[in-house]
Amino acid sequence: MFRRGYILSWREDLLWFWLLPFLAVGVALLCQQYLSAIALAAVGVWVTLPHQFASWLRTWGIADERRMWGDRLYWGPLLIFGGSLLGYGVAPISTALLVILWDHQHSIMQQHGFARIYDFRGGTGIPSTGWFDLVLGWLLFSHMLLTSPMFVFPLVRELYRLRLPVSAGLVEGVAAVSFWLLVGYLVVYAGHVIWTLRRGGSVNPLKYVFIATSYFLWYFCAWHTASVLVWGIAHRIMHGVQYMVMVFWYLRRQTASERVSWSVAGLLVRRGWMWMFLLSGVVYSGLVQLLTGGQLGAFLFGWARFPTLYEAIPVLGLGAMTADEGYAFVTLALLNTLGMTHYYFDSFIWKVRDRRIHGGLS
Amino acid sequence: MIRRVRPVRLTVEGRIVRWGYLLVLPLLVYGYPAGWPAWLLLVWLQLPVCVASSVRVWRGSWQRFRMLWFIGVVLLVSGVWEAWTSGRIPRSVAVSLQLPPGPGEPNLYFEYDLPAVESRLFPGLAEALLLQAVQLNYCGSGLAGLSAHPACRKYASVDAAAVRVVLEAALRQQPKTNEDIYYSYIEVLRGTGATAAEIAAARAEWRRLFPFSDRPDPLAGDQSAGVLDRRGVAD
Repeated sequence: MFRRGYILSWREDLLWFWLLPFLAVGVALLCQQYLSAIALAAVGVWVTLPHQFASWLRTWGIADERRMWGDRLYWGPLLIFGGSLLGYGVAPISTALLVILWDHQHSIMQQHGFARIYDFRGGTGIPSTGWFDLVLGWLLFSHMLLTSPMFVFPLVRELYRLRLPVSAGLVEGVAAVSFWLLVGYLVVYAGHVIWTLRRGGSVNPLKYVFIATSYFLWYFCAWHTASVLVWGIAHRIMHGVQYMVMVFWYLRRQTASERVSWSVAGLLVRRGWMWMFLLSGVVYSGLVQLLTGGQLGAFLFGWARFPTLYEAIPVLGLGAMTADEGYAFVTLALLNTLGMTHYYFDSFIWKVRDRRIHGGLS
Repeated sequence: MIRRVRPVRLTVEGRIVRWGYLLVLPLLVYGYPAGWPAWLLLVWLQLPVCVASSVRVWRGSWQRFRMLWFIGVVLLVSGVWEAWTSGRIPRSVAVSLQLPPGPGEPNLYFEYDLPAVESRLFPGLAEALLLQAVQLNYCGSGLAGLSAHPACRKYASVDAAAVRVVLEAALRQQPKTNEDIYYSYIEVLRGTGATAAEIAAARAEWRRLFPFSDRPDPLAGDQSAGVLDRRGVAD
């Protein structure tokens, strides 16, 4: 009837998949109380960007996987980049809304994917379970999007900007319909679970613990705080950390086999090298910040604004260094660093009197 | 001897395009001279091709890109709508095709009264209060006719002090990701005759919460701000 199965193990699931949402909410509430909005940017550079790096590593890091996914791996980024440029140029509101909606769809699908892994590992459910779980995820998340102040407020504003003036009554009506639809589906879903058990199938209760904790985070943040800061931090921590844990675990298993040849991914996830995996993500994050002109100070929660060299001197009529100037300043320093590192290394690696390099010279 | 020509058998996609345009064409023929909005004409024009190409993507070897295709089609339809409503279709194109011009960017405060809708849905929410404050500010600005606008008549008072009260209610919720509220509050304080210490404190709070802001310092050039800075009161 009930059969337990874990994504990783009892201890690791407890930490990463059941307790993490609560920890993330706690961190987010503390940030709301004591820190500025820079905390959101800090979580972005420490968690969100590294989790995107994990995605690159997962797709490009192993030759077999590269061959498996084929041209989608390069056509995808190229088409998305082109479409994004075009979209922001011609229809910025539509493009921004689409990016947000795709982000939400991605969040739903990630949690759905983990739920599927629970069934896969536990050998539970029946063939239709995946579809019932998927609809459950969509309805739960959509209900939150259509009813919570944090999401409905900007949605209504953007609809007005698109000249689609919805009335307050219509919004309330949509919320009511969404509520009863969700309630109805929960009854259907419970019926499906009972049907599964009667057919001799089994259920993994830990999957429901996972789904419950995930949606607790989203509903609590969207409904009870209505704060972009709390939502953003809690969601990013849960989403990003769980993804990185999953990628790390997956790549380690995929590359553990002796049949698999050497790969970058295998190197970064081998035993004892977790720090390298994490460091790579942070370096990627730093590079993205530099490339996009993002604030490097976000790494330090805004504690230091190191791209800003000069503060304003109002008495002399001088303004502070602007963000653009700060960016140019940092990139110049980086270029100089590359050059000077080359000078420095050459100052000691080519000493002919050093016997250790004679092998390469003879 | 009569040679019988075998009719060319169209693919499913081809039939969708043919029948699609047979259905859409009357709408275009009627709608264009009738002055239908450009976005509607463009959507009708795209529809058969979008449906046919979607079927092709779903059925053929391009199926692996179906997610991107779906995203692209949604963006295309929504983008056409937005480009027309916000007047982003180039004027030369609109003139050469004799398209009716789009209405342009909407005024959310007096054309639609968005603050009233958001306030009814989310009374007391910081973002809704900011919308109210902006509307109040316009109402009390003395611009021709605005104070008599129906959107303004719902307020008991439309002076700067009323704007300040609304913004302070918003600030009590610590909306730390909404820079507009903190920044506007500094301006409102200056307009309501607040003390230098109050203004400096508001500026310090804005600076603390948004250290990377690109907005100009509202007190730039203000000697009192410099003095306060050096004494460490404001920052």
